[in-house]
Amino acid sequence: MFTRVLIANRGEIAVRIARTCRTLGIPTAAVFSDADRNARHVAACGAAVHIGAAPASESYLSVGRIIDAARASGADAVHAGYGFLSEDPSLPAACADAGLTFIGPPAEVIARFGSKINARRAARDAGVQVVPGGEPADQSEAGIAAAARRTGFPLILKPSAGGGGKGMVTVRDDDELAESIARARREALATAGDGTLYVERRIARPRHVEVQVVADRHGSVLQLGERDCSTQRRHQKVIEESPAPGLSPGLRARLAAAAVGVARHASYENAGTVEFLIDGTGDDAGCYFLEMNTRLQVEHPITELVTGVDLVEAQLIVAAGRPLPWSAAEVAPRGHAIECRVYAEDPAGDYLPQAGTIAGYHEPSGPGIRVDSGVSTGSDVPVHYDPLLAKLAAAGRTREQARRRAHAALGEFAVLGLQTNIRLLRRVLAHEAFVTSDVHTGFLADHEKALIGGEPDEVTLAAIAAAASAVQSKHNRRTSAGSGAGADRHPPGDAVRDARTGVWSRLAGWRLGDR
Amino acid sequence: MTEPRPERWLVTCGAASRRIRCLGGADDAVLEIEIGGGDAARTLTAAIVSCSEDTCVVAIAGQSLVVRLAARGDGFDAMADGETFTVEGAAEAGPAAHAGDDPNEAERSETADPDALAAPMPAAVSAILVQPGTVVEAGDTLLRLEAMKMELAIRAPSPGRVTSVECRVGDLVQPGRPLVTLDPAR
Repeated sequence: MFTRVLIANRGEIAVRIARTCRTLGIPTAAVFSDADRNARHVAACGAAVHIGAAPASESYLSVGRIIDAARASGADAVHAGYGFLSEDPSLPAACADAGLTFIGPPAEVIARFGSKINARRAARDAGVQVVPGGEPADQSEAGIAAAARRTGFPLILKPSAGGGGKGMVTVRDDDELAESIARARREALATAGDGTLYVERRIARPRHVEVQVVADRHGSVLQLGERDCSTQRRHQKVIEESPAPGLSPGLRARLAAAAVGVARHASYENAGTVEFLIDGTGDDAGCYFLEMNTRLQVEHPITELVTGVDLVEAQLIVAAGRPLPWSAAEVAPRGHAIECRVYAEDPAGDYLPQAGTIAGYHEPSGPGIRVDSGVSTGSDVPVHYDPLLAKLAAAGRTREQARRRAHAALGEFAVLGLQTNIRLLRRVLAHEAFVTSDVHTGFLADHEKALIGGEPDEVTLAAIAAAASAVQSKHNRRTSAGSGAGADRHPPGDAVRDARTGVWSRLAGWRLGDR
Repeated sequence: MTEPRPERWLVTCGAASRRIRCLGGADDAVLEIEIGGGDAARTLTAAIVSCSEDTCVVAIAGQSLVVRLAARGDGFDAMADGETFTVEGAAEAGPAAHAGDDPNEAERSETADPDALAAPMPAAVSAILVQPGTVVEAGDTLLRLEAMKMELAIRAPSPGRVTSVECRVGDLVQPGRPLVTLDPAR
């Protein structure tokens, strides 16, 4: 299919793409910045190219360095994952110039949907309703303020060049408008390099539902069911599930038809996701196009779990110019899947991202459990990139089975040395509103107190202390057996070095079968 | 040369901290656990089902818990059932006698100046909007940080005058690092 695929990304998605390539027997090459020399994605690929300094602008966001790395590694195709350059039309354009295949849609399609204003026009052209709002031609503060007042409060200011929830600013009333426009513009410039804004009415308690499509060059547009991504914090998805619970068959069919319509009308190619806000769950529910993401989504595993399609394989097939080998009936979703995003962040501290070193790491496994991750014990979580560490996906015959599996598996997940949102994820999964599928995008904010507060019981605290004493005494016995005098506890800060070298650093005190 | 028992730990989860004393039995497989002190103290028995350098299975009060641990300073980071804990060695005389041993203490005491505004997370300084001498109102933005594609404004908690700016644009700052010192208006 391809001689070698350069994976122009890092973290869990780079590891995940490498996995499918390995399955298909396609060699891969990783890229890495100064901050990622020892990262897991580098080890997951057959070759690796250093592409620059830690800041993304000097490495993962540099089209020139990615193209150079592809040439240096002998790659003939480039997969950009999500984030970074995945939706920057200059990458496929540069790939075409360099004679490389970009695994994704053509540059002009990415460019069209990359401008959210043009995306709204494309959806309207395809006969699909968009969220009420405006795309002011006059981009002065006064022009945007006028469009905002026409739309009505509350509303959301969004960067036209943005996406993925970055840089969105909610405006409750006119008093906030001036400062909000300035802030939205700053964030738009910072995250997308383009200050163009548009306005959308803020729909009360909407659900965020998206439809996965894959289109080949032979006229086939497959829709792979929908995902509900309503559990969000700060417009960032936290838990996703497929299918979206509680939708009437009529609404589900309307969503699928609208998604295929947008893709067909745009001559779409490769994998893409059409996002909608829905207001209600019945046949006549409001159903508004939000945007189309022209890349592999973070939450693609749940679609893979219910359809059996490997979406990265589908992307490679389409990019190689081959027809998709599946019929609609073959990929009809079965069962239910739930994905939880494990972030290095502090939910009790306003979800501030955490950076540092992972001192201990353990992933759960079991029936229906899939973990996509980009870290392991000793991994650095640099300040420069997104704080997503891993995705835990659970599949089941029913939503309830998938939910219970995810909840149990998260209880086995351990990330030590950094704050994570694992506890919050478990609490969301156990919350009555989530159990009964009563989710909307304000769910986390509404139930924050119940989800974040609370203290563990004394029995758990006692168990933790007992475990600490047991590990401590085991360690003391080992070190005193190993090196006699001076066998003190390892000095502070040595945890990671120890974790990396493991038993070999204290070989004298170690024997097989030691319990 | 097993260390003398009992061991005293300060176990913290979120905002809650409890002092816990562990007394080893004849072998290390059974521990007496005492939570709290004085009349409120509660005693539990814990059996160590298995123990490796990073995982310990504890049977206690009719349930079994898998605890994952990683050494940190003179204690551990730990997780069980999706909850995160820190375990610190707590000396007999109380936490104060032990404070000097904490490797993070030096960093923390840097922020002890109540008028210094510190970085809440690892971040890059993206803009500084004030200089020494600037008079600010409560809520005024003093500087902006950027981390993981997010913008965060550091705002004045009270009216006052900026006495010093401790960072430059582009600096990578760690949590607790003082950024700006404010002399609050009296």
